[in-house]
Amino acid sequence: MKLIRRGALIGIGLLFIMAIPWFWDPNEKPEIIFGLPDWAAWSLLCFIGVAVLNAIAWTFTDLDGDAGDGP
Amino acid sequence: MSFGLLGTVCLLVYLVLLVGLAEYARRSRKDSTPSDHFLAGRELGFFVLLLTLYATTYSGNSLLGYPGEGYRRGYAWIISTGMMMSLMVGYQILIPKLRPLSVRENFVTPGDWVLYRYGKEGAGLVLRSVLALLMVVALGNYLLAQLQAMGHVTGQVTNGLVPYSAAVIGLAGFILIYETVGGMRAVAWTDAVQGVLMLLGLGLMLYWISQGEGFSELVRKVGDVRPSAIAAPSDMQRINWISTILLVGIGAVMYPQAIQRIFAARSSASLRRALVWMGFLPLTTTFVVMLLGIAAIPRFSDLGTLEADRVMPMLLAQWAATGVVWQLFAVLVFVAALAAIMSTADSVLLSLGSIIAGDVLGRNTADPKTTKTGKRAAMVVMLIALGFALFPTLSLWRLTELKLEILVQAAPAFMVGIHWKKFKAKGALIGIGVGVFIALVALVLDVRRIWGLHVGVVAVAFNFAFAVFFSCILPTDRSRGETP
Repeated sequence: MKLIRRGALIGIGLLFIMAIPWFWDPNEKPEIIFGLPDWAAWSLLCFIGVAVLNAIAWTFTDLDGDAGDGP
Repeated sequence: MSFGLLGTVCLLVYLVLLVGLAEYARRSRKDSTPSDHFLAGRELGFFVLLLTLYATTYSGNSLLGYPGEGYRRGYAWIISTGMMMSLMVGYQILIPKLRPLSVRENFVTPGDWVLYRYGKEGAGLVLRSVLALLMVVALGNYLLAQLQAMGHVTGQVTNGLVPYSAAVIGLAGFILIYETVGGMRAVAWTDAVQGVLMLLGLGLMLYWISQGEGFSELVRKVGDVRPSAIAAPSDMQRINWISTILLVGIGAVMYPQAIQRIFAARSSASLRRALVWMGFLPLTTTFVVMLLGIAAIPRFSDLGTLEADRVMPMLLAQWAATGVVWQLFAVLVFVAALAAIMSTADSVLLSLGSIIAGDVLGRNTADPKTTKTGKRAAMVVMLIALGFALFPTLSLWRLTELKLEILVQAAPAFMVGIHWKKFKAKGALIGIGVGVFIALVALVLDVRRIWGLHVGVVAVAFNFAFAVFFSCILPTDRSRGETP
């Protein structure tokens, strides 16, 4: 359970880094994909991936866990 | 029927519905304890919890400020979708530990956890007051942004029948009444209605854009009018993307109104389901409002910074002019936008009342008298915010940034303190002092970015470093329950 959650969180971190359009030249006219500039479509795809992994991470998060004995 | 009259009628129907819900909430209350008033007796189930989290998180900033920012930045504002998702990820750091503690210890305010974690005397007590003040200043700013947005939208929905100042004062009074009468139940239930209205309104707007020129044609038109709006982000903008994700992912997690909803959840299963669904909502909300702002680029050129915040009402007015049915839809979207704003304002006000009564004034959060103190505090805060709202000078997004840059300074005390037992109150206080000092100096000098990063992000990095360093070197005070 913890392993899946941890994997999902690492995946989310990677997707956030990948979502930034590092490899597109700001001076070039973008192609249009799915009604968006190509770099924006890529970012959106990454964010959809984040939403899916976020759902997986919360599904495998224990919210009733041991709160500990004190601070 | 004219647009203004139709809008006024719809607005009145909506307000009557809220009154009914508030009265029902008042009758449903079990007692007058702070837990019942500020947390709805900790009985929020999945559906209401999801919608109240949604309506609270997405606000006037989302419905007016974000289309304005989409208009100013173009497709690069797609980062707004990512930044709202980073908030859900930020919760992953806090909630798994905070939720079980809140159930066991019956926390009402974030300050209850601070006292539990850092001790009820000395530095722990000072830390609670300092964190509460940060939250009050940040939330006061947030409330101000909501009041401004309410005034703009009402002016548009009634086509000027209700002027800006009358709308701000009238609706603020309205929120104050239903929040005082019904507490969190009234706020959460009205949030649920407002959340449904928001989703409906955004769906209608998306349909309208797709029916107009289509999304691909929109990209071409925007590119013709303003090529920079469809261009990939520059190096500096990419750094700003990272900074925005960090600022929201760390800062917005500190929203006390959201933290209190975590305390108010009926069960952990309801909370987990709500958080799963919340992760998808940026795709139906911030992404759609970004498209709205972009759709305005070819329609309205050269709007100023403050004018750009009004692109959504301007688009709706254009939409309404195309036919009777569309006029009704446009009014519905207007009411939805107003709902979004009011839902955030009421949540912020309720949270402010509880924090001032419990954490700033130090009243016992188990004592029914604290509920009354909280209600009075909410009234005072509303009056102060009203004074500022009547003379708007900053854009909605700038108000949001300012709020987050202050609020983010509270993050190390919560996010590090909940995981690291050696993190000390004195270390956290030194860190906050450094972070706030940097943020204030930057504010006075009007420096908004440092190497492309938000000032708040740079300040919280120093805050974190100083807090950790001093937690390591300061001696442990065992008499105050600190762990060596």
